[in-house]
Amino acid sequence: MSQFDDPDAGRSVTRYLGVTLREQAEEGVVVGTAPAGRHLVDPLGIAHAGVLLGMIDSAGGVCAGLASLPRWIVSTNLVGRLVPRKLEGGVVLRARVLRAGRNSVVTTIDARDDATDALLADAVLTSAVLEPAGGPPNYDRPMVLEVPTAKTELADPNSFYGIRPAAAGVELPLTDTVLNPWGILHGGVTTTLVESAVRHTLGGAHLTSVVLHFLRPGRVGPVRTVATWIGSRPDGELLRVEVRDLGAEARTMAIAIVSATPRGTSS
Amino acid sequence: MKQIEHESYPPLQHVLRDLRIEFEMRADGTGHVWLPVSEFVRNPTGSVHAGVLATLVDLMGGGLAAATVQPDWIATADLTLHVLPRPAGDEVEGVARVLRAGRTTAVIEVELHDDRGALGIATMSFARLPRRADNPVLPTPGVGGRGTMALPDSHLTEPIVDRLGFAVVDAASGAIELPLGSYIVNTLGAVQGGIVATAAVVAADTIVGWNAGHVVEVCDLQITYLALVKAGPLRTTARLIDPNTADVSILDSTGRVTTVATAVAVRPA
Repeated sequence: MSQFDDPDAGRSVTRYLGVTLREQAEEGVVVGTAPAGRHLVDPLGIAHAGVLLGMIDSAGGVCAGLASLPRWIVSTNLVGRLVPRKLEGGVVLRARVLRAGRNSVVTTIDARDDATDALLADAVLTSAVLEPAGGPPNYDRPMVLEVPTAKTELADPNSFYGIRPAAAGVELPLTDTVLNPWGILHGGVTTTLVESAVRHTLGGAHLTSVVLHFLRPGRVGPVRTVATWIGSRPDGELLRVEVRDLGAEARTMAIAIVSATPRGTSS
Repeated sequence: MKQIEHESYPPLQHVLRDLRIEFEMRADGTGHVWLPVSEFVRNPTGSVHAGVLATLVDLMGGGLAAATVQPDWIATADLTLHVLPRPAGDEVEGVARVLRAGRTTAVIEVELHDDRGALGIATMSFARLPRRADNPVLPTPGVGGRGTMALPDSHLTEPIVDRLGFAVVDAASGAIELPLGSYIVNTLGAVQGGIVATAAVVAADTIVGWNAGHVVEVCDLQITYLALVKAGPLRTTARLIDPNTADVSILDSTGRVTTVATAVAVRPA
């Protein structure tokens, strides 16, 4: 059962990401805006890949959901190319439908720095169409999902979500903070788990490419994420990341293939 | 060695025969695939052309996904390939496993290696479709050993990109063309998914290399299939995201976007 009618349940991640989403008159387009915030960037001023991909998942997911009404969607895989560069302002996202079929919806999303218009990321999200328990979210059209501006400075993503180092990777207890309105681990937290595990393995890194397959929902926890190095290339390191729900017979929730620059670059 | 025969597919002259790929579905649920690495599937540096690797994993991933969801059938929804660009040995092996097989989708992962170790990794998602009468019947996993589509005289006699017939229309915009023909079709009469991926690789190599002023090789490929390419010639357009990365659109002759891809191409070591 979803909790979409409860204005607070399962909203912590959405509020942390801070993306206000607006459906545009142009069919199949959703624009997201997130104000600048120190929690969005690392000490070099580069946007956290996990946060950026979480924003992309939100914008692309809502865009796909609107295209599938009266049914709704669940994200199945997200492929993105990231440009690690200093973030000067907030983030502007633009999601549009590439293909809306009976069983799946494909959206393309780009994220730009609203101060410079520089590209931060370019992604494609594939979503499966389903009959949601409790029905789809009930939005006025054109839809506006306003997220209140945070009144205090927010912690970095790992601290806010509760991600901590663990054997060979990182671990996260499934608290209310990291759940979505369906009561399962929010996709935007999974993206940060992937980034954190890669950084843990490489000793600091900036992600440049992510392929993330959401395989099964996270319901129990703790969730352990381990990144395994595959090899080196001229553009960085290649890793495979596995996300497991330890409380659910350690089943695999997601896998990711990631390219990353070990020490990071900014442009 | 068992030669896989089907009433109408693939035709006698077909890229899947000429690549001389061998494959085996094992009882443990894994799929194995082997590619003999001839000079005609290599880049000038000795690495294997990413389009050939994409074709290899598409063939194995599709076979394993189809075997897993039987009696249903599958259509490739997306394919990602990450390659370590280095000279390859005489044979590349891929090991495929099912990550998830659900009611509507299947997800497959393929690890690639040669005698020196890891060469890359690929993932694919497949939509699960009701079976049609003309879908091939697949062997039961664990029965039959290695198979191949190659006939005794199947082989390449020129580089794969030349054999497929790619032509560069405008290098600066990554515009290439590929005529359609029976050599590259799939069971539905459209361009085979691995060859669509190869088109994305050639387009990315072309636009990134043209802008860089030197030869490059694709090492990352992320491709989303939106529709079949049934009306030829296949055409591409591309734009650079950064000096090494291209977004590629693949269109059919009506101008419809059938496939979108992002590819990273780097200067070989």
